[in-house]
Amino acid sequence: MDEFGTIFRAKKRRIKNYLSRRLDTITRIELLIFLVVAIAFYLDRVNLKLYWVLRTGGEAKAWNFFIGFSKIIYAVVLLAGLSQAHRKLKSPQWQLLLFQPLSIGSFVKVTVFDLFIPVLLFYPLWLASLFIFVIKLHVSFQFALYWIFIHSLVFFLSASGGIAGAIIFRETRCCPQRKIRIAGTIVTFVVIVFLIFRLDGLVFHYWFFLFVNVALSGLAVFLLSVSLAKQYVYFPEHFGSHPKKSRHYFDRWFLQVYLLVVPRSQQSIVRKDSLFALRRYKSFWIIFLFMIVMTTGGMLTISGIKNASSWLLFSNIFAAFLIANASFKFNLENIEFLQIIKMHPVRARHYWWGKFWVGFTPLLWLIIYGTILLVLRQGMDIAIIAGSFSLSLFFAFTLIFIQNNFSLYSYPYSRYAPLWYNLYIALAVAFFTVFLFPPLTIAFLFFGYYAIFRVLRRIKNLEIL
Amino acid sequence: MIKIENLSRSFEQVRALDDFSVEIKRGELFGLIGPNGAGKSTLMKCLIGLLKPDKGEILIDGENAVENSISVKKRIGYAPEDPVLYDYLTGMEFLEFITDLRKVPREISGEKIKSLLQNFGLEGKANQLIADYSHGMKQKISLAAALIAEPDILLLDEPTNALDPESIFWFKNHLQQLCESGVTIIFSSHILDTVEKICDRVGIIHRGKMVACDTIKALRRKFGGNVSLEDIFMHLISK
Repeated sequence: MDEFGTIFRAKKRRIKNYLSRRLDTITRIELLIFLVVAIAFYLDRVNLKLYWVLRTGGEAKAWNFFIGFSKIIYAVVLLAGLSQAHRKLKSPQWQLLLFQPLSIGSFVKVTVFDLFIPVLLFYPLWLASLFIFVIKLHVSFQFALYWIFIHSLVFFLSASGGIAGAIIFRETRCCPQRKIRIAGTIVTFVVIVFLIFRLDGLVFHYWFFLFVNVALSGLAVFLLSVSLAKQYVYFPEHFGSHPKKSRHYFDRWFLQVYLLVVPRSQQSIVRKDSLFALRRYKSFWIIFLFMIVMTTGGMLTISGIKNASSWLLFSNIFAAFLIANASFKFNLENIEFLQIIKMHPVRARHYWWGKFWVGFTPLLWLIIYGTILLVLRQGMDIAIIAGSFSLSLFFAFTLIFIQNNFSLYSYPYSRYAPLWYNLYIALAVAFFTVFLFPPLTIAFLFFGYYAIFRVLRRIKNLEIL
Repeated sequence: MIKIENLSRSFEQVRALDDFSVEIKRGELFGLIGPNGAGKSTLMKCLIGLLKPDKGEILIDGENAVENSISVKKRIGYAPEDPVLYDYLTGMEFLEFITDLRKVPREISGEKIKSLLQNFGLEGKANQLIADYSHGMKQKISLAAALIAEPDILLLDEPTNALDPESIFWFKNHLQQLCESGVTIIFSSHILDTVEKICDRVGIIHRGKMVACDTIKALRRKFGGNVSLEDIFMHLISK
């Protein structure tokens, strides 16, 4: 308990110091308002949707809606567990524990606790959604208790599955020879995923479902502990990359085309960020995947102008979303790295516009590519092309303005900026609600452009301690 | 000439610089020594514009460094205590990035980068990612970045940390050559022998104040003739 207590207290202190020192009052208020509005908006949407389903399809349809909704939530929890655990297990703070004389038990306890906490923060929100369903569907008290119990278990099971996945990934990199244990964990992981997506099939076999859930939750946590205990011995290897000359030349050749639309004064910043991004290509798999979908979709849209225009609109807006998000990953420069910019004669607006072009240039190319695909296929009304183009640009402009604001806050290491990244992603996803509730566009637009003033003010007054 | 007058800077309760004043002539190699937390790095950060002073003035050839930060930065090269570099760029690309920021024409920068990499013994590693460099190699890249645009003023915060003896030897000689050609250098270090050997004047900073500032010879005279810089330093700091 002593070691656990010490580490836990240190963590608490770190978070407290971070919040009190790094965030100014305006940002704290912004964060609070954003969280309250986002939670209220989410609960209101769930409530409204359920009301609508009950009115149009009755209770049976409402239950189906709930099952579908639960699956999405569990999948999100699983992915959230996976991504945050993956990030945390790489962090120097976690590695620091590896060379301290800690008992294996304390080490496992601390790590499991540390990995579960962020996912657990979502639990009250999920519980609130469950209450909405229980109240709206007028179920009995006993059934409601049982229902909440089962779904809480599945929630934690999903989180365990995600965290276990992150550990498997790390362990495979550290010690590939222990294949059997890894295979066992993968099987468990697959079973967890299977169970979540077979929720509708198993839902009426109460005791079976309960038993399987408890057993699997226990197994997942057990495997997690075993993996961690074994991991304790190993320090993660450093997999440094050594760029070959050919790749170096490719980067340069590629960049010449990439930089064609960028003003000269901002090219050095865009070049640096692009090289950085190309070497962290794992962040970009989703864009390559999207390009395949875009190409296939573009080629298959042959049934008339109407379909093609909606495809164009969808693909362009989605491209804006993806590119803006991907560019944010390498726009999240640590405040120490801003030192490089601040100690050379670079004007704030040049830096800021450079960052803007980093997100905007690939987007422009992607939109041009998507548009050419469709125009070549069947011709397109110029008004539709212009409309889709400008809507996508508005979308990307606002997102990039917002992310530039977030990128100026400080965090210990550039790769570990989960707070800003997650907050930004939540905001970017929320952006899609403009399709459901168009007046929100004004709020997003206002927030995006307000971010410009915040950025310019912050970067001017930014001090590197 | 660099003229610093009554410069003060506090961090919450701590006064990192307390009415600090000094004048450094053109072409001078000025050594700055002091215990940890004395205010050496804070002074350098105020000079380059990373920190704003609470009070006081920094004049570089009569130009106010706080008000005209961009034009002053064009004339200053700075190597921070801990090298701050982009891990996912190669050494060569990082130096190209810096020359682009400082608008050094590519025809000149190419040759300059090549010769600096050669002098620091990094020519074979230029196309390797900075993430794969050792601490000493990173320090060399950071120093090369400070030197590359041939600035009039060099601010070097513990530049010889982690360097190999061969590079230290070349670097020390190079600094002296730069001073002869009119470059002003502020050199902060904990290695007193090096400071004693290469610096024209030495400033000893303690709790944000300049406690002594003179040539080595004059300081020796003041403290009783045949004493080392280490003895003088220990005497002043223990007061």
